[in-house]
Amino acid sequence: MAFQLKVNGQAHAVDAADDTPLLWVLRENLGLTGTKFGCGIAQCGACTVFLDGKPLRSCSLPVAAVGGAEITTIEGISGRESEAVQRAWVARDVPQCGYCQSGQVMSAVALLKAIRKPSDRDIDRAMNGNLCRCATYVRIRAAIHDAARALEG
Amino acid sequence: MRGRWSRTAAATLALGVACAMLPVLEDTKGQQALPSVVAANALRPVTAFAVIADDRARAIALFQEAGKVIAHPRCMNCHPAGDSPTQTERMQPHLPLVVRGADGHGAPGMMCATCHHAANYDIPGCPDTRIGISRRSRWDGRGARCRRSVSRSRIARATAAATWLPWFSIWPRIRSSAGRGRRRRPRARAGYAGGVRRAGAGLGRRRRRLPAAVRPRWKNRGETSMTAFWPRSSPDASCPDTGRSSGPTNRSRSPPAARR
Repeated sequence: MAFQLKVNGQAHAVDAADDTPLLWVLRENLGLTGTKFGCGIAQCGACTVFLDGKPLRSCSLPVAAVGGAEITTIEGISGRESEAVQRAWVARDVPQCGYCQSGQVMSAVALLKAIRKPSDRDIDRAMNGNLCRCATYVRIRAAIHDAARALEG
Repeated sequence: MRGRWSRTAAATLALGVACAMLPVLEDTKGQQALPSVVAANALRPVTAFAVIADDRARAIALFQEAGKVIAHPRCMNCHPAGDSPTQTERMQPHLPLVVRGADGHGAPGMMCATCHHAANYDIPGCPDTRIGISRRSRWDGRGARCRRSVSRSRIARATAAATWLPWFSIWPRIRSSAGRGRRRRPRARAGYAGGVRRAGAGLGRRRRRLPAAVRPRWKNRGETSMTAFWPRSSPDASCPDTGRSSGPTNRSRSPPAARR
């Protein structure tokens, strides 16, 4: 079945089965492989994308349910928050193996858009759905604080 | 924490049994009988209660019928008394941790709608998924109170249950999350994933069967758990995601020339 998707500001025509998860449409049909497959059951957060600006686990949403919503992937995020997060991630050398980091960055950007100066508790609550097998959680939290400080200045 | 969940589960079970039994008890008191054989999860329509002439008895029966839904884990999971929902029919703590948040939709960055979408897909969902926030909608732990209110003949409250029944009659719309959805894999890589599983299983069997005496020889073949997974026919294939080399088969197992 044919679908029209708006991904990272561009319109794409996609031919996929109704129940194909959005994740696989992004990765296999559109070649946007920055969004990762981790668990397939919305438990790890590696597949996080923005749907109309809100974070969403793309492994659990069928492409037929997307409709005309604007999808933003790790390849397409922009704005002050994402720039601050990317700089903080590099400065803190956050990634280890890096597999989960696109999801971590997406969730961190979503958090900073909602709370400009998050506390440790806010970060823990917002990020606990993003798992990291390398246990980079301490650096992630520090980098989010760094990004928040950068946004203040 | 575990004790709290155990008590909650026990209370739920007790209420469920009570709800199932009480209509029978009412029948034994000489009230007009309802159809007694009903499937465990089936709800009687409101019209089925018309056979009860006494208003008070009918109100109580309606309330008890509604209690089947109110006390069911599939509903109580999202109507907790605390700040975090539960999941599965065993009412386990929700993973990952989700909190009620300011408006019941979760914490910023980790909203209910991040994983639960507008309909039941692999993961249960409904429009505007959120944790029951109003005092009235916090059902967990309130079953005993509701039963007490009935026993105190608060008929008006019990009668109100009749207005809920049409909504409750569609309660199966909240899908059970017992299975936590399906793990979907890309079609293009389904065979790859199966191959990894088979390779892992084969490796495990072979490892178990190997006697200790030959184990060093097996190790000298250089097969680690990872090298067994990678296709030897195309050692130079690159990973499409990262552009990196395809894995340990590309690595020279000999020491670097400088160290020789």
